[in-house]
Amino acid sequence: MNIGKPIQIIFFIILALLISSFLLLIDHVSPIAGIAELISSGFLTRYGLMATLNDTIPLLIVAVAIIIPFVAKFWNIGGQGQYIFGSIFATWIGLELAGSLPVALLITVAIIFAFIGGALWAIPPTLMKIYFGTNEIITTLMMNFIAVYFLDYMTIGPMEGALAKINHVPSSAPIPTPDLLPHIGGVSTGIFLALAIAIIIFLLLRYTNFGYELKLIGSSVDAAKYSGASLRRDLLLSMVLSGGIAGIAGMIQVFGITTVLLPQVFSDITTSFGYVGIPVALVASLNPLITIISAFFFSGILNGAYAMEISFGIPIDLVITIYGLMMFFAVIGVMINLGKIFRRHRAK
Amino acid sequence: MKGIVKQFPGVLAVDHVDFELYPKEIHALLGENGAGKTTLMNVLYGVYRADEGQILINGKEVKIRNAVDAQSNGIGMVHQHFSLIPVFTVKENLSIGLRTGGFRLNLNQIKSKIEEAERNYGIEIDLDKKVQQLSVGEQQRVEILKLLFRGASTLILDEPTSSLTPQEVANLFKSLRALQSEGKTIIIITHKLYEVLDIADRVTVLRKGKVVFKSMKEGLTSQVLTEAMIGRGVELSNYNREKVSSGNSLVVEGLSVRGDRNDEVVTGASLEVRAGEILGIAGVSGNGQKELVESIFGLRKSKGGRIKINGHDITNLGVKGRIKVGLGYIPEERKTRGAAVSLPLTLNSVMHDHWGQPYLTRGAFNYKAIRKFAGEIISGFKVAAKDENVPARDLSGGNLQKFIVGREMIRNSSFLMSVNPTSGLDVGATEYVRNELVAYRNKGGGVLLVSEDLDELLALSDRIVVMYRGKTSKPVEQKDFDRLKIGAMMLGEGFSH
Repeated sequence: MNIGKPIQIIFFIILALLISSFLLLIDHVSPIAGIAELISSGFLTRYGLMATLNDTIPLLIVAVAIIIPFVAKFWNIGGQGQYIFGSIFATWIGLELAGSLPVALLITVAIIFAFIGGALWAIPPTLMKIYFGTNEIITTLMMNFIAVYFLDYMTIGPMEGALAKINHVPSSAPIPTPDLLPHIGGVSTGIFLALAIAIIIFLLLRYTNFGYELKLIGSSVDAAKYSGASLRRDLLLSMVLSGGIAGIAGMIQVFGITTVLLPQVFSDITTSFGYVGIPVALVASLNPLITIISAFFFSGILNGAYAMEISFGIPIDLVITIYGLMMFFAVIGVMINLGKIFRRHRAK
Repeated sequence: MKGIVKQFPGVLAVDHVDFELYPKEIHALLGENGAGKTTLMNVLYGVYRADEGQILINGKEVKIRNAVDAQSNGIGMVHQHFSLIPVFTVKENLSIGLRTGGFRLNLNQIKSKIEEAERNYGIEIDLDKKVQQLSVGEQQRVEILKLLFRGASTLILDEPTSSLTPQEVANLFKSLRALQSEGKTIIIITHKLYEVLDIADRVTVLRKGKVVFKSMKEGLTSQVLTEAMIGRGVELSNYNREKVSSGNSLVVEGLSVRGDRNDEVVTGASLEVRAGEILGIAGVSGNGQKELVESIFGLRKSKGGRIKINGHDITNLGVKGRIKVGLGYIPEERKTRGAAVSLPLTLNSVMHDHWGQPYLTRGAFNYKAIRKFAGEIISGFKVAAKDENVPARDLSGGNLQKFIVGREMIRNSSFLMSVNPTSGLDVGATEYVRNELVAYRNKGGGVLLVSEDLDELLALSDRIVVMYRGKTSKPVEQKDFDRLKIGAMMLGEGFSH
């Protein structure tokens, strides 16, 4: 008996909901009412759905970006830093060129610069891996710390906006042109870009020689060398694409939602797309198309959890705990094989 | 040891072996790779449990279930791969597993004990050096000290000279004689004749899991030992060979290659594989065959020399370039190199064709063509697989090997390298793979066959080149095939030392 992965994931999410119910009980909230609120506000109400779709955009792009090197078992944990550098580059070019370029051209230029910003942030750890064999998990993670504090500095330093100075809230000036990425029914048009990226990366991995070589590397480095793949080129390219695309997510967030560059807080799961993108990609078994669903699902859960906070007065930390539980259990659902465990048990 | 039997899945590693050891002797256990020497000793040391047979010490049966049992009977073993902790000092390594009473390690007390042991056995070593700073020979001395320290009176050394320099070997033998005069009994597992003749008092020869020869050293010659080790009775090939020749060839000239430890393991090797022949490479494993093949395929950089296919110099090409020129390779490591086992057979079928027509059309993979190719391999080479979409890891060893052989043969390669193509395969798969190699040759392909199985080489090859310590011999023509002669060459005869 081999129960499929989707069923396993659902099983584990139900398990997470059960544990969440227990936590809600401790906080004197009816679990049934709580979970009903979670689902309806996350996915069913108009405003809930709007917010969920807007959150899906950057999460989906970053998760898809991470998938590319993950296929080769090159663990890019630096999506966050690459996302941040994309947003810095895009904001800077937006502030410099807004008004002097037509909107369509401005957006194109911003996308290119965001890509460059994110890619630049992904290249050093990759070169270090290729030439010195350093562990990419550590180096990409460390690059995130630098990026977070560099962004802090930019928003209270060189890029600090006039209003921010008065309000003492760090942020850049807003990009002056309104409606850079217009909203349709409250949803940023960045969603089309996000879907296009997911589809393109899916095709890239499935149909190109580059995607094939990444799969070989991920399966066995020796087999990849034996097949004639050029490992260095493949890894570098995968990380340039990964960082660049994560950078584009930063640009779309600034141009479509925030219009200003905002500093990031490490513990703030709502803006840590680079980290949250990892479980989102894993739950989707590194398939960019399935990632559309998993990014949407987890964005909905997050928004639903926020609604629980407002409707029932549940502390925000408990709400985020529930969100974290859902992710944790969903990832477990992908990683283990329940059917096998049951079989082994029965064999005893 | 009496009537010892040890069966592994698919192989009878040790087959009713009787082995006697007398006190204070140095006993050599001789045999080719895979003859069962190490397995037999692992049974004595409690690493494996025998399926049948008994172990008697001074006439009394003992049960040795693990290494602790062995140690309490005074038996110690130094494995080919040392079990020392590299970042610990010699002293710390020697203290592992010692009970000095109390919770705290008393390293000073231990130190004085070690020094005493050193004096007694004439083994010198710097106790405060970290093991990773020591040479291989020094590490070996630490291993021996460790055993003595735990009270071993019988020492088993598995291939103790395999990675030592000649000076280190001389030192080791000096120490072994000193130990013998202190009353220790020593077994050395080896496949080197001169060692046996040099140090052993008695010798037991194993072949294919059976004892074939036992004798005191007196009066022994290397001829007698070689014959015992590799046997007589050559079964000449019953493969149907046709004469084909196109004048094409794969030529290696003066190739030098560095190994994993950066030492030169192939030194000026030269050979020529002609189209329509199987050139066998004989040699005890570890004499540079692996590195030679990897270097010809472009997986390992060469330090000097040239490689040519049909006159094209491919020395500076990458793997992909060499595949395109017409080189194929059936690696011994089927599950880590020859196939990407987590990927489906479809993707595994195009490992050497993924950059062009018909599988890559206008930049995109053509899955229909790939499925068709994988299907051709599966049906053409009788691979037992549910369909072409199963991951390669679902295939048994034999079927995966057939799949890889098929892939390398169906694509238009003109030369094929194959390393131990039948190791670990059952009789049916072995015969199948051998027949396919001959069929490939008969169609005009050239095969470079590296094998540790001399019978396989004698049966399949048109000519045989022997490799010894990184050097190649002149090719031996089929009419001159002589088991004993080639066996002696594998052990160094005819090579300058």
